[in-house]
Amino acid sequence: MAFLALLAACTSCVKDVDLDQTDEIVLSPEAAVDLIFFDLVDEEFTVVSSSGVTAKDETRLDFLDDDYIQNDLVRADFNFRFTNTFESHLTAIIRFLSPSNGVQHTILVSIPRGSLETPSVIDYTEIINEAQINRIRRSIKVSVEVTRHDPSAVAGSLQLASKGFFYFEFK
Amino acid sequence: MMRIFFFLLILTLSQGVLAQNKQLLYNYDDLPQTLLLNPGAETNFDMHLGLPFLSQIHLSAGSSGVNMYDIFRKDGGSINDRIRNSLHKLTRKDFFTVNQQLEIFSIGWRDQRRRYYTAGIYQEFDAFVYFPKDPAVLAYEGNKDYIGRNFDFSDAAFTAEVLNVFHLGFTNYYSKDLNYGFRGKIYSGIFNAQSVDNTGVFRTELAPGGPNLYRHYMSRVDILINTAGWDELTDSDATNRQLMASFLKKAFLGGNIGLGLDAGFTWYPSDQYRVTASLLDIGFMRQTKNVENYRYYGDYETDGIELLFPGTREYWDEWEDNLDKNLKDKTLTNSYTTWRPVKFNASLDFGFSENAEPCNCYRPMGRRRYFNHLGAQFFAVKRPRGLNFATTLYYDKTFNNNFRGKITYTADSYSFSNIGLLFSARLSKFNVYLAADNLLDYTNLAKAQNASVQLGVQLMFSRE
Repeated sequence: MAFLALLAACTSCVKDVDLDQTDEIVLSPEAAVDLIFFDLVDEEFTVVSSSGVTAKDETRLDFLDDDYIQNDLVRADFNFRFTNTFESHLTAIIRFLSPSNGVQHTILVSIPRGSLETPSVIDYTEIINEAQINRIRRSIKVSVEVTRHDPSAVAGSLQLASKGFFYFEFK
Repeated sequence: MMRIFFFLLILTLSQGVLAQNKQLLYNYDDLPQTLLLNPGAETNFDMHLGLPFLSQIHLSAGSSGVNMYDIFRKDGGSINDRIRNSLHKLTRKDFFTVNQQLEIFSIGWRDQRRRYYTAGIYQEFDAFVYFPKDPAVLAYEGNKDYIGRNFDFSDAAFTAEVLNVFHLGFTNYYSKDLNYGFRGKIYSGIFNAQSVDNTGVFRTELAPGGPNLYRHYMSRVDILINTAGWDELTDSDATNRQLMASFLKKAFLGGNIGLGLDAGFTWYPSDQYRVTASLLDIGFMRQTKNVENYRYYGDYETDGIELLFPGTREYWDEWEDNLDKNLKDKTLTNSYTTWRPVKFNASLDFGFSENAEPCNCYRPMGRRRYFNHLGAQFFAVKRPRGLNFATTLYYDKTFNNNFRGKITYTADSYSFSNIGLLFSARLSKFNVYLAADNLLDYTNLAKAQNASVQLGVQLMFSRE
C-alpha cells in the first residue's frame, strides 16, 4: 500500500494544460467616468470678437499622466451632451492640451439655436482609436471655448454634461 | 502588474482541501501525530522521539472554486474567455487555502499511571483567502457594463500567518473507558497579515436629475489590512543575514506571542464502539511588534469637474483635495489581536476482528482491541465568515504488529470524491508513515480541487 501511495505521488502529474498561456492573459477593463460639466449663462461670455461672444475655461486632468493611461489605454470615447436654450447658434471647441499648452486633439461641435421652451440638445461622441490614442497620452489638460454667434440672444444657457469610456489592455 | 496579480490569483485558486483537516491521522493510535489532533487520544506506544524536522511534514492546498484545468486547458480556446467564465462562476463564498506544518521537535512519554505527556515545536504556515468577487470583476471588466450595480469591498477578506508553536500536553487515563487530555500552546509569530470585516461599495449611477451624466459613489468605505512582520520582509536595505537573524528571533519567542489550548477525549461506551472529540487552537495572538496597519476609509461622491467660466483654474486640485479629504488612507502602527482558526473534530467508530494478543498493562487499553475499525469523522474549522465543514468515512486496518493502513472517503466544500490513504510501518523502534488524499486526482493534478500529503519518521518505544 505504501508503494501504491508512493507510486501515486511520484507519477502524479499535471496534464492537458499549457501554462505558457499566461503570456496571452490580457485584462481589458472598460471604465466609465464622469468628465466636465457646466451651466453657461450670458455674463460668462466675456470675450467679444467678430464672430460673436466667447467664453473660455480649462482644467487639468492629472490622471491622464498616470501609468495606466500612459501604458495601457488603447481607446477612449468622449461623449458630450449640450443643451442649448439660447436663441443663438453656438460653436464649442474642446481641446486636449499638453503641459506646454500644445494642442493634441480638437473636437468641434456645432450647436443649433434653441429656446427656453424647446432646448436644442446635441449628443456628440468622439472616438479616439488606438492609432490616435497618443494624443490623449500626451495631454494633461482640457479646454473649452464656446462662441455664441448672436451676442444679443442673452436669455437662456448652455449646459454641458460629459463622460468618457476608457478601454484598457493590461498585458 | 495587473496581469501578474490575476495570474497569481488564478494559480492559487487552481491549487487544490479543507487544508487543516487531517482525517487520515485522526484516531490513528499508532502515531503520536494523532495527539496533535486530539490530546485525549489513546496511543499504542509508551514513548516517542521525532527526528528533528522529519517527524511530520504536512502540505495541503485547496480551492472551492476553479481548478488549474479550468483555466489552462489546451482546447484551442482563449484563456481570457476561460478566466472571464471562471470569474462569473466563482462567488464571494469561494475560497482557497494553503496550510503547511513542519514538526521541528517532538517527544512524548508515558508515566507509571498510564498518562502520556508530549512536548514539541512545530512551524506552521496558514493562509485563507476568500475570492474577492466584486473587486475582481471591477478590475477585470471595469464599471462600464455595470452602471447602477454595487461593487462590494466586503468581498475582500484574507488571513495569512507564519508561526512557531511550542506545546506541552498530557493525556490522562481516567478509566478504562475514558481518556481526556489537554495541550497548552505558546504561539511565536513570525509573520501575520489579515484583512477581515471590510466594508464599502463603489457604484456608478446614471444621474438624469444631476448636473452630469453619471454620479460615482464610494459609500461607507473602511478597508483595513493589518500586518506584523511585513515591514521587515519589504525592507530593501536588510541583508539576508539580517532577515534570517530576525526570522529566527521571532520564531523562538522573540516576536509576537500568543496562547492557545487544545482539548479532547476518547470514550468507549462499549468495547467495540469508540467516541472521540477535540477542540484545537482555542487561542489568540497579540500582534504588537513590527506592526503596520493600512486603512482606507470614508464616503465620497462625485459628478466630475464643474467649469465656472472663469473659475479658479485649479479645478483638478480642488477636486483631488475634496477626494482626499473624504477618502483617507493612513498607515498606522496599532497593535491588534488575531484569533487562531479553531478546529473541531468528532468521530464514532466500530471495531471488529478482535486482536487477542496480550495487552500492555501500562497503556490505557484495559478492554478488547480490534484489528479493524470502521468509522465516521466530522471536522469543522472557523474561518472569517463562518465554519467550513468536512465529513469522512474511514476504514482502519491493522495488518500485523508492523504494518497498518487507513483509507478515507471525505466530502467537503471542494468535492465529493476525495479518497485518502495512510500507511504506516514500524520496524524495530523506527516508525515511518505516508498519507495522501485526493488520490483520484493524482493522475492529473490540474483537475484537482485540492491535494494534501503528510509524511514523517520517528522513533517509538514500547515497554513490553
